[in-house]
Amino acid sequence: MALLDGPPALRLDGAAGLARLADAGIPTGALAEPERSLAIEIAVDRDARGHMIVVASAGAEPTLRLSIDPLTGPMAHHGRRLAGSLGLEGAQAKAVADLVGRLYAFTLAEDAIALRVDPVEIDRAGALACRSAAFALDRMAAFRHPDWNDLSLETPGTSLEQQLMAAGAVGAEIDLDGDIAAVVSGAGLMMASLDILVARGGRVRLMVDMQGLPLQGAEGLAPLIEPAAALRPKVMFYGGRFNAPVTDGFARTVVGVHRKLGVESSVYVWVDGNKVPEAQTIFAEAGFTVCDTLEGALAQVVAAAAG
Amino acid sequence: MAILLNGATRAIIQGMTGKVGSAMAARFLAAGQPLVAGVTPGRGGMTVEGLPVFDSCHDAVAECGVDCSFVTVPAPFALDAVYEAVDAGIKVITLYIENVPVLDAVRLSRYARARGAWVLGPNSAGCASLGLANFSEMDERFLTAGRIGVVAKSGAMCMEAAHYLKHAGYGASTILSIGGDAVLGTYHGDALAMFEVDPDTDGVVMVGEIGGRSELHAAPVVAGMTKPVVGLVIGRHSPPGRQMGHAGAYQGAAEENFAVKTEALRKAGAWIANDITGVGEAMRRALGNA
Repeated sequence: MALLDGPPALRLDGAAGLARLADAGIPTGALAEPERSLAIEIAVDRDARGHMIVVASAGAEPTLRLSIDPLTGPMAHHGRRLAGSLGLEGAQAKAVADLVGRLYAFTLAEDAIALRVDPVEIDRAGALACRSAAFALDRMAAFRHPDWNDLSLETPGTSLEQQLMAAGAVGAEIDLDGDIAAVVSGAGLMMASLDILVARGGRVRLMVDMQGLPLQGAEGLAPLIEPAAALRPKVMFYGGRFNAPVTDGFARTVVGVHRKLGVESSVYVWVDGNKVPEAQTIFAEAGFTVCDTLEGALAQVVAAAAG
Repeated sequence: MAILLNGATRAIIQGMTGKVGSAMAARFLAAGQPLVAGVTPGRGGMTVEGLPVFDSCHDAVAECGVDCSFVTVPAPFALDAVYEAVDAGIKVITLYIENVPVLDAVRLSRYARARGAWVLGPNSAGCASLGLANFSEMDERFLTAGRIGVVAKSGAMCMEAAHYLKHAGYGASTILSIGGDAVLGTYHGDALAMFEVDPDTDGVVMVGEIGGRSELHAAPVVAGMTKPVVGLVIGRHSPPGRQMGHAGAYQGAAEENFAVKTEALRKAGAWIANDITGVGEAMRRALGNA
């Protein structure tokens, strides 16, 4: 029962989470004479392109996991199987099946990636009450939920990562004692570069994926370069293969930020693609070390950090 | 022949009157790609870069015989755009845009698969069958045509894999970015199955990453292939639970990590590269032993 531990997302739990359920007409609160306590999770199953519904007795291992086709949603037979796996019959089984359907509808309406209600109390007559709820909201769906602005949502990431996210980039702080910061073009290059740096013995403070910001010129780039450079790590690395003719503009922005902040880090650069000679000249004139290959650049970065 | 795109491909851009769409139209046309029209609801009758803009995909298909779409509409409109393209009979749809809601990605990918269409993405860099058709952000001037297929989530990894293949003396048949989001229209195993039956492909480089089970589901496909597969999973040193650039690149369940995925691919018979710079040499070894 750990589906909620996965995706970085906007999170809501505690009294606010429970209130959100109550607003949707889902029973919350406490029962006078509860007979059992259950747990129900509903989460996006990314590989099945659908949802997964998991049920358990509270505090116990799941009794059943069901994959739900988004083109149908949960059907009556799903409800019967889920309730049956919990050993419920009659009014209790019907109540749980009904609750699962309502929670599923709630996840769709709320753009929740994952939802957990735990515990859910049920009495002998089939009355239900959710005692606690937590869910992760898909921040990419925020445009259709203006009311989320009124919620106290927990945004994932460190303050620096949130600052980079606000700039339109993605940052990951790896090792607070690290002495290397890398700013690269592309999520894949972010991960691949980190792997190579660590495999060679480097200690990485920060990795940043610029996303599409190089296309936005200095106005878009500077807000992401500045917080990374302001860390003043021992060594900085800038890298990317630029399909668009923006490499020279990228170089000017990076050099401008370093001058503005007076950053004294050793800087290594690898760029490929369009307008590369112009960019390499700008970097070289700024005193940065321009490397011809990705692997060569990363090897020099690790060596410089160790030296 | 390659996969998904070929010499007979005729493509549209959905959202071609927008900033991204018009820029990509100019780029595709400058590179001589078979882009024939655009679609923007309410803008029918306009032209962009000399190409006609239609109000709907149905009109574009009827007038221009389109079979491929490159979608650049804003994320809130992605779901409707893909539904429309599928309903119009378009079979290859690249969702170039990012920030598509997860629920929309679930719906559009299931809808497309149920109707025999392939969606690349969301957040796909596109697809390039070199020398035939290239509807991607990958600049063909830096690529070499050949007989190795490439499939990766990341556009950057597509480019780097192609670069290191070229360094080892190999060109690419089709390069396929399946996208970096959590829920995708096409997974690694789907692409491998297509490459296996493509007569113009002799081997495949597959770059996976942490998060999700696409690579794990691809392992049985690798095991059943007659063509060699070079496998690489990136994100080995990414902190657990942290998103690494792609919306889908986070380690959720334990089996979504580097070690489990790499071992699954190794056991399935893939030739494992140590890092992205090693995929070309790994392919050389694989073909030498294939």
